Amino acid sequence: MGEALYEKSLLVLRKLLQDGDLTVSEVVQSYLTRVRTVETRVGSFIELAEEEALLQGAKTLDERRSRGEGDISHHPLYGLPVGMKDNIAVRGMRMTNASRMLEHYRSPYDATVTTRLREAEGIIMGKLNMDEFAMGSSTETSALQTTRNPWHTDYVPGGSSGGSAAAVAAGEVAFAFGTDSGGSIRQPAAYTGVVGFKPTYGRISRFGVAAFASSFDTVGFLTRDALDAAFILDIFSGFDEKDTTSLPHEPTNVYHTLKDRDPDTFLKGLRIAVPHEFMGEVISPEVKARIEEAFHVLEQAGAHIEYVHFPHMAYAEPAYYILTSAEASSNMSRFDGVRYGYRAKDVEDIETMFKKTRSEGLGWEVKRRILLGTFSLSAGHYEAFYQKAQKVRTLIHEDFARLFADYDVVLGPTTPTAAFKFGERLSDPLKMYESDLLTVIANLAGLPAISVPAGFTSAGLPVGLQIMGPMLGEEEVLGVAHAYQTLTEHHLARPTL
Amino acid sequence: MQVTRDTVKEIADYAMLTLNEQELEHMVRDMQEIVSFVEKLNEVPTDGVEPMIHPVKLMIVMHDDTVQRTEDLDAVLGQAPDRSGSYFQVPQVLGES
Amino acid sequence: MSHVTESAEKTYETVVGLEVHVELATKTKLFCRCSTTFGDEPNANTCPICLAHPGTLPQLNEEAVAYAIKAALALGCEISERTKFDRKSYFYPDLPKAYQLSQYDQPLGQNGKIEIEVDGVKKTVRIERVHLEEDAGKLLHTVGGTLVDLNRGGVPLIEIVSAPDLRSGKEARAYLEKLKAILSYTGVSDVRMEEGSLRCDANVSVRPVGETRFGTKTEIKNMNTFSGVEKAIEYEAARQVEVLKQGGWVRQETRRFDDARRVTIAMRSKERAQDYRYFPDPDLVPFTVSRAWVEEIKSSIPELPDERRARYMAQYGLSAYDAGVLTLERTLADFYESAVQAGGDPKAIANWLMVEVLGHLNKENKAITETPMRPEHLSELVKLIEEGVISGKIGKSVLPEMLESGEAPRTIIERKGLIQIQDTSALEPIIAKVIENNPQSVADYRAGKDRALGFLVGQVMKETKGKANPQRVNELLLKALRS
Ligand SMILES: [Mg+2]
Ligand SMILES: [Zn+2]
Repeated sequence: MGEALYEKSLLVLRKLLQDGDLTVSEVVQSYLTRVRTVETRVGSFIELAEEEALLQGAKTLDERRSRGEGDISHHPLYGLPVGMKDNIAVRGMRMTNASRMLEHYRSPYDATVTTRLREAEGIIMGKLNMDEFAMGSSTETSALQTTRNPWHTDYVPGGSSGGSAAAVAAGEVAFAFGTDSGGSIRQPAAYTGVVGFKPTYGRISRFGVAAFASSFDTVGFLTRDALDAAFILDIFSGFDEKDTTSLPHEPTNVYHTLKDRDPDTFLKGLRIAVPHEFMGEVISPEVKARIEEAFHVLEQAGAHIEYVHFPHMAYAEPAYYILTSAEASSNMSRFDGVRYGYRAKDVEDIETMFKKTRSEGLGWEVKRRILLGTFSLSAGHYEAFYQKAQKVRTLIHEDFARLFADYDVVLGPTTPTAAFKFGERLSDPLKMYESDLLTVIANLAGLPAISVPAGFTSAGLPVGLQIMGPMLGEEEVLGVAHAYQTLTEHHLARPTL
Repeated sequence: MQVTRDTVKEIADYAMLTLNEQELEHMVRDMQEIVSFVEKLNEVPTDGVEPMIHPVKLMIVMHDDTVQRTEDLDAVLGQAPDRSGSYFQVPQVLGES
Repeated sequence: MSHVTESAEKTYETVVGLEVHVELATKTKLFCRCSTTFGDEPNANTCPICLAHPGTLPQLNEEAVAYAIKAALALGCEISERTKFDRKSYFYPDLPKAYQLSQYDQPLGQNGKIEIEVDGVKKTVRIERVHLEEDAGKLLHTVGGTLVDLNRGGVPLIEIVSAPDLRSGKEARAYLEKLKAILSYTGVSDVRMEEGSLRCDANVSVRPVGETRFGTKTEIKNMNTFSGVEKAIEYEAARQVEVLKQGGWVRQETRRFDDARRVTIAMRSKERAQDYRYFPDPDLVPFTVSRAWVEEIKSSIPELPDERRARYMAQYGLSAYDAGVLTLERTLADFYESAVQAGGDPKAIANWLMVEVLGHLNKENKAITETPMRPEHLSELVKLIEEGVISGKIGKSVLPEMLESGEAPRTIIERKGLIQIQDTSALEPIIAKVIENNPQSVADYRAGKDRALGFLVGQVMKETKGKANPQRVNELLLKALRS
């Protein structure tokens, strides 16, 4: 294969490193060169680790290896370049959340995933751009920089994990961490033609991940293919005592189940549900066509696809916006200019300091959600808005429970359309929210879901197929995704930059 | 429901945000649009439905009562915009000095 | 007992409910593992979690929950099987997350009660709720600005809310004393008001006697002592009655007690209303308190002050008052009990402890735990007096030394040569000498002036430098005078 290093999947790179066909220095050097070549056009990094430190770190790993020390089989990400969304704490690095509020903030501690990443000996390439505090669907609300879609730089990469998606699509990292509260991994993955995987809520520790909406936020990954995602999930899943909302389960063991499985045997007889509501008028014809092609591939392999109803689909987005904004309004209140971060100048008293600091430090989208959230939690509105939405959340959960009693997975497009152009939706909140239409329900119910590349529109923009599974059904979700990828080649396409 | 300027101003005050005239006008418009959108929930009958706090049922695991010192406290406290000795310093609290 | 204020037209009664915040005696904070030590360098006991750095999450301290359950049980509460933490939102520089984690609609404990006694009348005060929450930091207001110390931020508190069952400042004080006793018995808190580990707010209103609805209440903050609480409530009730008598109405407001001037002052009220926007904390999952855990904690609750007081009366024959004083604090009650078990008359030990020992410690502003004197030493002292080895007077003179040095009384009196002379052969020559030197007094005595005998006894005591057993001297002197 004439693939450049940066185009290879994580598992392929890993094998080369393990067999001694590649050194860590070569890998890091190759990725650094790639970043230097494309970063001015892509703009995914908020902070790139220091080149010298990266090369020195790589050299240390290589030297240790040549001395025959440190069994690398105990370090599953040995020498592999990883990108972190900028809402994840990496000690000593910036953690801006793409906000003026934290522009100069450096995290004094490591997130649990960062600790595990260091133990796995992955190489942290840097911090990636995002929508400010993960509020947005195009990475345009970042107060610090613009990230572009590697397939077409006039288009947004999606969001909020837009930097993570763009970096993986552009070959700047072998994989990237993202967070998904309503589609923030899957939607940008669909827009940039990579795999975006969001596990079950609580599967991966949130400790050290800046909270946007605590009961929705899920840590996940953007990768080249589904098998990579399975491999990484097994490393980072598992209970963490620092996060009381993490699931009290052992780490998953999906990769080994999937790697040698025959896709046809697996897909034969698989029961797939497709809600009519996922394929309605709001879905663009081109997206619909690609998704139907994907259905066809799966049916050919023996899967049973049935169209079903998802009764509360229309209420998912309103419930999602009320609940996430309510939690966000409270989570954002710690940014007050007292202990860290931005503080407004020339203020005489504390209340003015709070107000000026927050008004200058936070962007419009963040303010809008803080206000909506404060409104829904305030006296007189709590029951009609916040609590009502919580009840609708229960109903959506029940809709899913009924579906999963009869079906193994739920399928549909990840987004109603492919990526849009810069500025196209920014001024219209409801239009912007529409791009999350099909993804928020998985977060409302806490379910695992993935977006995998399913071809392109005539404009050459990627389309994503979404697979949702039952609670703790990572194996089903990744299994279908992996089987689909063994039967198709959409995930092998790379943008020209 | 109607989102008024007064509502938005009051809410902004709770949230410690200030909006200038232009922003206020803009925000009233945005909020009105979003509130009308989310009011769609009123169509859903929810009598007897339990409100959901977390999407998964979790059991809390508590920690024991042993002290852990912060490794690099200077790196933590050093993030403060203004300090006096090891105190954080802020402008005066009205009515308290 | 009702505190009734007379007026020309109407008689008013005071209605008081107390909200008491008590810091729990855990080693670490409620949601992180920082130390709760008092008096350390500002912000020395902080971490990214209690400073609300982005990405941090709360972890729950099991000991704090156990202490809160224990306190709630000791206050007669039912324990909620399922409970959670809620966020109470407001901006203030001492509150890092700008919300306090507290418990709103599912408090850990509910429907408790305690008994108080004022002027011999017993009364039950209902406790509406006991819930867990985190403390805020401390602010220091200076000319240059405000300084923030977050060492106390996140320390576990229980908030104990009484029903509006109290009818006077005196009752409020009795309630607080009982609360303090119960909490210190269970060991859940140091209950030191001066270090801020017990803080009290009072909701005070007045209403005409016979009225069943409540009047408008004011909330009084900043009371630093139990007597301050009593005075503040008495003042505030009188002020409200005065306002009503003048034809005015009471404003619902927060007032501050000025200890020096003994008045309550309205605090500058914020123009805008507070809206705490309580909602369940999505970062901390709701939790269940198992029945087994509650039973385990229940079985660890020691004998509480009321039970102990009753037992001291029955077992040691103490008066209700004495038993009450001795059982108010667990450390004192334990000290007493150890002393009694070491021997000696329980009543005499009670007297020595209450009058001499506490008198001395109060002067020095010390607690019983702060003296090196051991309970066995008090028992030994009482026995030495009972056996006539020393006089009560000498006993009183050696006590301060026992309290300061922790030495046994026998060691002190032996070293100082204070053992009483009881030996007849030693006393007879001295008595003879006194009779010889005081012929006038002898004559007076024989002439029927009893007072002269006291003078002669005094002379013998003086000769022996106070070491003679006065009873023995009396006997021997009478014998000599009659012969
Ligand atoms: Mg409270
Ligand atoms: Zn701490």
